[in-house]
Amino acid sequence: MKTLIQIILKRFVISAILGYSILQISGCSSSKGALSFSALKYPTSMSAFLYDQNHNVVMKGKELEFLHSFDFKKTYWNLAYGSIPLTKGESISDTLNAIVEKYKGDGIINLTITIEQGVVNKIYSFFMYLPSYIPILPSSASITVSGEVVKLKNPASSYLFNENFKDVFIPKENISLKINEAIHENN
Amino acid sequence: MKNRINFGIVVILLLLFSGCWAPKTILTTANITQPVLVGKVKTIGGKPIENSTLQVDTTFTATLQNSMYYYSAVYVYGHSIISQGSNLLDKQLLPLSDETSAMIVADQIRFKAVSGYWLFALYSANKGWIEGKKYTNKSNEPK
Repeated sequence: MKTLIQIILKRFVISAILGYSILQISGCSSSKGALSFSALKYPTSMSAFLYDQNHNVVMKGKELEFLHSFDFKKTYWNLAYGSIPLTKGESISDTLNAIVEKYKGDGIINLTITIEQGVVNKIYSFFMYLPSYIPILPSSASITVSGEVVKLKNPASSYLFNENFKDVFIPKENISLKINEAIHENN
Repeated sequence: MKNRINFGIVVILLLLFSGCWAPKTILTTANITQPVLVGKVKTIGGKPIENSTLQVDTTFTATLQNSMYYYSAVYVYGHSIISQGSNLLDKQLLPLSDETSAMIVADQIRFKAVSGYWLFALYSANKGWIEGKKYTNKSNEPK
């Protein structure tokens, strides 16, 4: 009889430890996402440099004039430990395009992405992630996109890549070449 | 006994609130001395160029992860924060930028935020990937 009680107790203790361990391992919350820049209309760089129309590297403080800094936040939601995305991998291009147009810039530099746990994940931590055992409860990741809107300092050079002035504006270094071409055509 | 209970409560409270101190992961390539482009427009005033039409030199994936452990078992409490620092991305991209003709383009930026309570420890990690390609400047002339 004593042995039977001992066996039952032993099994109960082992089951309890195993059950608790499983609960400890499985309590997690995961969220993921991707940023797409497919519809960007303006050159955007993650460093302080851009290419001008002649593929020359131009930098902030020299050829590039700082106009305005910006930042905005986005939250990405997922279900079932991140396997079912609730927020589509939407492009942030439209937001970036609108920002450049608002400040009448030529591009964006120092684009920075900051990733952090979403509010929901932080709330779960107060409950030792017990809510995350229910896969239908969402998890979230929060990202902050920041950067600087810049403009080319030399306004004359901007005519070079404006379609309307393409044939009107002649760069200084090409004037002699154009004159020679005109003379050659007349002859 | 009273002190031990108080200490236990403090440990539990620290564990509960530690989720709020989860580190941020910052994806930046501020120390690279050449453009690290995203999107299809490669030059100021240029038109969008499909990356697939350009000649690829090499592909790259630069990753960065910051993680944090807060652990508590009976009356033992501690924490560990592993921050790789944003400079790691620069280190990964620096070999690509050694040639003056190289053009670095990030095609996609992916991210993941994981947190959980595993084996007496609160775990939290944020990971970011930059996936892209390196082109030569010559092959990137706008068409």
